[in-house]
Amino acid sequence: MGIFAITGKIIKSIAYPSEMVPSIEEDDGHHHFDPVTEHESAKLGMWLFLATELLLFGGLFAAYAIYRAKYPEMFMDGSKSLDVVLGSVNTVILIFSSLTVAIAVKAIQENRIKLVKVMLWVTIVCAAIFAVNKYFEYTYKFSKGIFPGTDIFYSIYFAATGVHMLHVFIGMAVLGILLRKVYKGKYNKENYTAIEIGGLYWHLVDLIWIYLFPLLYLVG
Amino acid sequence: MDNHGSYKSLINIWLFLMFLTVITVGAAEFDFGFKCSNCPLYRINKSRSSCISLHAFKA
Repeated sequence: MGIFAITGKIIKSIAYPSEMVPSIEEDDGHHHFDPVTEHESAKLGMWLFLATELLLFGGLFAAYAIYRAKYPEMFMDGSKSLDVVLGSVNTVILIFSSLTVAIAVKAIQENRIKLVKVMLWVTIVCAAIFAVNKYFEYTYKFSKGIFPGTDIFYSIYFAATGVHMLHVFIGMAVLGILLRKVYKGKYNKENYTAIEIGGLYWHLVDLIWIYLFPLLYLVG
Repeated sequence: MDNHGSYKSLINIWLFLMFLTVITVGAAEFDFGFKCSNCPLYRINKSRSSCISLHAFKA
């Protein structure tokens, strides 16, 4: 199975959790279909998925720690070449987007659909601004002749921020699908599991950046 | 199902995270005057890579 097929399945499982299990008509008696149990099951599944994501980034953080201990001067010089202001702006943007997605989850629990729409839109726009900033950061590095293979610091920098950027794009896709379904009236205070686990995913994207930013930009 | 607290508490958490961000970036960028020549490891080995502290090298 290709990477795009796997990514598609992940997005679908987040945005359409109820479609990943058989319908009630197809039920063979081994699934729970009361809303509370389904909600808790979906959340548990999301937390397990988030744990695997932490393992993925944990490998990159381990590589960072090992090579930093081995080549401290290379990491000092590499870190100094990164734009702290742009990194700080992106940090503020992502933390703000976590607030807006948390407000969206709170709002759907109170059936405030208009507020949910506004907050999801703001979150997606924040993600887009983050991506644009990252684009400028990457192209500036490329124009200076700095590429992933330049040295070990930049290999880790591009790998870690690149994989994180992929998660930002997946998050934007998930939030976009959720927003579309909110416009279609699919969610309300009785049925908001997808928005909650989509929000959990977005918080993970934010959390990973909170570790990447100081390690790459600040620890000089 | 879960309750995510009040809007006010969410905004307070966000403000606290903003405060931590500003403090962290400020502390990282502020020049505390650390120098390798003051570091005992550097004085012993005369090698910047022997320094295990996290501050920037300003030998």
